[in-house]
This record gives sequence, C-alpha cells and structure tokens, in this order.
Amino acid sequence: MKRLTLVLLVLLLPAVTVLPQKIPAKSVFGASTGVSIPLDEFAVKYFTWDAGFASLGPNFEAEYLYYGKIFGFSSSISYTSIFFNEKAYQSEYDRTLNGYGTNEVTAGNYQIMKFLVGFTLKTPEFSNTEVMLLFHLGYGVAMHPNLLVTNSEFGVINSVTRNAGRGAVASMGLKINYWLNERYGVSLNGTLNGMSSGFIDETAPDGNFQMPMNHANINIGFVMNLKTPAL
Amino acid sequence: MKRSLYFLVIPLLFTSCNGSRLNYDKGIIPPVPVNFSSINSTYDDYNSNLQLSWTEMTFSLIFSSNRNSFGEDFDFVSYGGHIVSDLVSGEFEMSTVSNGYGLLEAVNTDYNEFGPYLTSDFPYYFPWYKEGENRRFFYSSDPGGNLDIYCCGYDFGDGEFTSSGDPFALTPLNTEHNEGYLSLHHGAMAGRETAYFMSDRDGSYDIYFAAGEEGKLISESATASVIRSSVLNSIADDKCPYISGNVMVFASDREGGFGGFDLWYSVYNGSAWSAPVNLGGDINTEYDEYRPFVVPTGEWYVNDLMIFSSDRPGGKGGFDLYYVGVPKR
Repeated sequence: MKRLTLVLLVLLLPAVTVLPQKIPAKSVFGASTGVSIPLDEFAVKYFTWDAGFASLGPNFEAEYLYYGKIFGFSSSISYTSIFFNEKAYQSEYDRTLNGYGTNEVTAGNYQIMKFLVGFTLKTPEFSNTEVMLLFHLGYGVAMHPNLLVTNSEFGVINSVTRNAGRGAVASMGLKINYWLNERYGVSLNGTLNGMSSGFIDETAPDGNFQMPMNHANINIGFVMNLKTPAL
Repeated sequence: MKRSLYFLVIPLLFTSCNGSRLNYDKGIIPPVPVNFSSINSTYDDYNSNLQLSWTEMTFSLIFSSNRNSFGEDFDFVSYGGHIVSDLVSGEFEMSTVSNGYGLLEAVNTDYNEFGPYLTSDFPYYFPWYKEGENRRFFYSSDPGGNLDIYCCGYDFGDGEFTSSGDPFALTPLNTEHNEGYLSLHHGAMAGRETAYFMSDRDGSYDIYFAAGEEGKLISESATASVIRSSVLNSIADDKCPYISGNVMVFASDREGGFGGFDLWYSVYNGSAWSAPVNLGGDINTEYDEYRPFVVPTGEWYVNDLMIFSSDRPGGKGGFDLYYVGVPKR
C-alpha cells in the first residue's frame, strides 16, 4: 500500500507542477532505438552467484512526454533483446571441468518488455535543445532463453527451459532533444534500468531462481511535438 | 557511482533474491583425480574406506598410513570432514576438519593394518540384520608375519567410531598365506552373506569369493566356501577388490594397463562378473594406483565418487589418497 501511494504521488507531482509554468506545455511522442548494455551481475561472465552471461543487444522504445518549462511527466514502452554469451558460458564449463569432454552450449536471447511511467526535470529550451532527466517506475516482463549445455562424456549437464518472469523496474535517464523545427526533432538518450525477475528452472533443486537484469540503454531517435499549430 | 545512482532511483522495489541460476543440473565430481591434500602426508597414505552422508555432506574416512611410525609399520588413521559441492560454480571439494576415533585404538597394533572395510548399510539385504546392529569393521593385519583378515564390531554416532568388542580373525578365510581387503557382495546368494577378498594362497595375488554359512553373517560362520574367481583374475597380481552395488573395482598389474598397478572394474549382471575393464588414462598412470573404493552418489550427481591411492608424482610423498568421479555403471 505504501508503495502504491508513493507511485501515485510521483505521478501527481508533475501534473500539479506543469500548470503553473506559464509557458505552453509540450506533448511529445518519441521513438528510438539503440543498444542495451547489461550491467552488474547481469553482465558477469564467470560462474558466480547471479551471473547472467548477458552481452549487448538491440532495443526499441516508444515514449510519450508532457512537460512545461521545467517539469513534466513521461511514459514509455520498450522492448529489449539481449544476447546470451554462449562462448563465455562454454569456456566456464571448459574451465570447471578441466577440459574433460567437449562442452556445447546453445542458448537463445534474454528479452525484456518494460512499461514505465514517471516524471521529468528539464532545462529550459536553449538553441532548440532540451536536456531532461527522466525518473521512471514500472513493470517488466522478461523472458529467460532456452539454455542447454551438453558434455560429450556426461550428456546434458544443464538445462533451463524458456520461461517468462516478471518484476518491478526502476529507471533513470538523461535525454537530449534537438528540435529541427516546431514539430520534429531528434533525440539522444541514455537510461539506467534496474530490474530483477524470477524464473523457473525445472531441473534445479529449488525449481526457481531470481536474476538481476540491470542494463543501460543508449538510444537515438526522433521526437514529434503533438501540440504544434499545424496539428 | 553507478550503484549509488541505483540506490537513488530504485528504493525498496526489488523482491529479495530466492536463489541463483544453477549452472549444473546435478553435481559433477571432478573426473580427473584430485589429491586429498588435507589428509595426505609425506609418508604412505592408502587403503581407505569411509562413511559418507550426502544429506549432511559430511564424511568419516579411515585409511592406512605409516606416518605415526615415521615410515615403519602401517596403522589406521581417521579423519572427519565435509564436502563442498556447488551447483553454481561446479566446485566439488572434500576437506577434513578433525581426526581420531576410538575404534582405531582397538585395532591398531605394532604390526601392519591394511584394507579397512566398514559395514553399516544395506540392512534390507539381510532379514536378520537390523540397522544399527552388527556394524563390523573388516581389515587385515600381520601379527603372525602374514596378512590375515580380522573383524571388529563398531558403533558410529556423531561422526565418531567406537569399537564394540574385541577384534577377531576370520579363520574360515585365513591361511598361512596373505589374505586381506575383504569386501562384502550383498545379495549374491540368498540366505548367505558373501564376500570377495584377495589372497596369494595359490602363488600370485588373486581375488577369491567366499560364502558364509546359511543364515549367518560371514563373520559368524565357522566355515566358509572359498572359490578363486576365474573371470576376475589374471596371471599377474589382482588385489584389493571393492564392491559397490553391481560394480567391483580392484587393482591389478596385468597386461593392458598403463604401467604398475592400475585400477580395473567389472560389472555383475546378477549371476556373473564381466571381463575386467581398465578405468582409463584419466585415472591410471604409469605409476601405481591402489585400493580403490566407490561411493554411490544417488540422483544428485552425474557420477559416483571413487577414492584410491597412488604414488604418482605431484603428491606429498609416497602413496597419496586421491578422489575422482567415475561414471555410474
């Protein structure tokens, strides 16, 4: 209940602060694409607690922003596909099994869909440029890939079946919009995304596990002002 | 700095972790021999046997060593320890934490003691055998100049072996030649306890089969039928049989090995043993490998645990104990 109240307050804050800003608010749609970079445990590529063996991957994001001179709110939907580093994973088996037998790893990609809402703090526009900080909270659905490891002497030594997990997401980002004209602009943004998702591993004694999936996105895209006179 | 930013924007959102993704579905005991360095000494350490709990990941090991006599006669030495087995890192390690048991005071002498064999499991094979009773410690000793097989009752609790009764010789099996390394073969004959042991009564060391009297433990039998195994033996020395389930492992310097004594195995199909097979170059070397025994690991490991001794280079000196994973058969 406390968390829900906190979220509602976060959402209401921009609404009450945008109104007194005395300049026309912008209603902006943006779309961007770029690269996702796994962070922390998600990026670790050796056998240790919570290691994700995640590599880079592409992401796509659509967002809506409504803001005045300084304050605003924003929301976004994004899809991220992060490659599982099969080579690094295999080399860990080669190491821990001292080269006994031949190891083979096949794996798909991690996939993450995020739904975020939050508020923005921005600088006043200068030279057709806006610099804004984005603070988002939301919900994520993540997909753990199929993972199969076989050893020529032992057979299958590890397997995880593709399955979906869910978890809360928190995100903080820096976004720069450069307006080419009143209606269109280009954007560059970088975000840090914190997420942890539970997954099922039917072959594990506990049957499930939790995986931190923190990652950063660096995107470029375009923005479109939906409240120009032409519209 | 990056983590600090997370703390600013991600307060109290994450549920606590309830486990990590495991990188192994089951444990794998290292398939390449690992020196039991926490036990071995610069003297000869070999001829081991142990009690092991996979649920508690603890073990109690007994082995022969001439460390106490600084290289003279062999006595039994024992250690308790624990197993670290990690399905995330793949690590498997056996290490010791304590040593010394009361049982050893009852069986160690000024002569040599070899070939320890502890019974306590498989009570369901014997209707007259109840768990916690009739625990026997078989071994061989040479107070008369030649090795004879002995038995001593024991109790085991809280990781501690204590003797129950005095040691006695298994006269139905012993001769004026060397006998030792008895290993029970559970369920081979209905109503009779059967065992294998080594003897040089016919010249070279061979593996012999023995059956006790009907309805009696072999250690209670006044007589026993003893037969030389034709399938298991060769013209060379065949020694130290140890049976785990349907598999016998033993040491032999027969042809077809890697040099010196090698470890071999044979599989029992319910009525006969298969032709012995060398355990391979991952385990055997041109040096001596000796007195293996296998511990079943159940469903939690892809392979079984085997402990043996070897005088290969790289150890602490003389014979050292090694542990290794071997395929389930």
